[in-house]
Amino acid sequence: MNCDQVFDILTRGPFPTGTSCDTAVEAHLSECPECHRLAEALRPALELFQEAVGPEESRDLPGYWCAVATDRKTPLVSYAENVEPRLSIAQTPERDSSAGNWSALAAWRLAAALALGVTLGTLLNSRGTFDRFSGMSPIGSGSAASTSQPNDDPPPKDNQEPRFTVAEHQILAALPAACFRHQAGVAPRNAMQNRGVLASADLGNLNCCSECHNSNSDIVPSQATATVAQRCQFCHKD
Amino acid sequence: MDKRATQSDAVLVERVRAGETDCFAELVRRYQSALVRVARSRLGRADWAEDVVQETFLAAFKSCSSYDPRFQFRTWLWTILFNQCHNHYQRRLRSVPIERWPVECEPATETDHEQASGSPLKQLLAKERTEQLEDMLLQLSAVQADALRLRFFGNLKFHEIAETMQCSLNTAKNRVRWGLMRMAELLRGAGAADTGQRRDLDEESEA
Repeated sequence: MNCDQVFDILTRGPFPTGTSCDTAVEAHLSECPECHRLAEALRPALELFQEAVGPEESRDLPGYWCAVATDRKTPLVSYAENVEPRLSIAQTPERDSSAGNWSALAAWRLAAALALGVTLGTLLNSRGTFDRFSGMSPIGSGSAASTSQPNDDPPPKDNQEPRFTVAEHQILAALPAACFRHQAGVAPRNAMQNRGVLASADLGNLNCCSECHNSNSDIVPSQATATVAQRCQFCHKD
Repeated sequence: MDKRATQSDAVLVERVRAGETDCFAELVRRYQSALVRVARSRLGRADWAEDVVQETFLAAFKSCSSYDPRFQFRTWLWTILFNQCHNHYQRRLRSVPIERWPVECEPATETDHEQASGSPLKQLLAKERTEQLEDMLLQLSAVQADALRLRFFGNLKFHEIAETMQCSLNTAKNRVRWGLMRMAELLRGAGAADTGQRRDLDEESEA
């Protein structure tokens, strides 16, 4: 497979496609640093297109989806989630320089896959590194530590896996990518891991959403604010 | 299942040319939503987009007899759409000042994938992303934006984009590539600006 074909596949729709050509693309990306860099550079824009244009909107068009989607056996998940772990074994120097960006993007893609119900179980086992909430006690631990007194001790083991319903996961995973771009290092995965923490924390200190989404904001449209309010109320019923 | 749904564009066009005008309905069903999506993105208004798509199909139907089967029907259709968009835009330019409708005024259309996806929450999310995408496309050069619309909204292959935009294959690929690069740059810029703003706010609140 050559660079042109790889570019064609990566800009054709969600990758991996679930077809036999995925392996060839992955092999090419691991061998060709130029394509690898290009794939990484294009990812934010491709994500935006994929989020804005639903597959159901274009599936009827001949000659495009039919080539890759009709025999799709695996759910649609993204390049980052599936290719990255394998590629990271042989990291290039170029990759090192963008490792920070990568983790946030990979986490977002992981959460998107979760919305499809693919990685629900694995997410429950993971831990977050959300500094903002590092001082807060997990739900049910007995006391809510102040944010000014960070607690570096790991929480009790029985509290490490907050329990969420499928509906809660779907809501949290459905947060728009734009929210996570606004906060470096914060991804839906972290939000989900810390969701249990939020329940027992001093909510007055938490303004991560309302900071942008408030009635006086000039950077977020009022419609978006209404959407966020709806989402917050899903967990914060009081 | 309707037999026509499984037939290729070429067969359907041939049947239309032979007098089976009903077959044109299948072609309309296949391409309507993608054409409306591109036209709306290009013109900024859903009502105009629907007018233009209607004119496009009408023009295609009328010209079926002169259609050259050496070319693909879909690239021919996209070319007609772009011409109709251009004509419509010029007409509007001469009559009333053009501005993008606020989203609240956009009439709901069946082409929105958010319409099909159900919950109001999902509809709002999809709308937010669509708005962001449209804003980004407006910041690209016209040819790059059109190439991206054809690639992602119309699902055209690169050689079809080249044929529709009457440029070389390499030019079509480069328009898509540089358009995406520019968009990624804009997205990163927006993210960095927001992070900076956030940091300032944090520092202020700490002080």
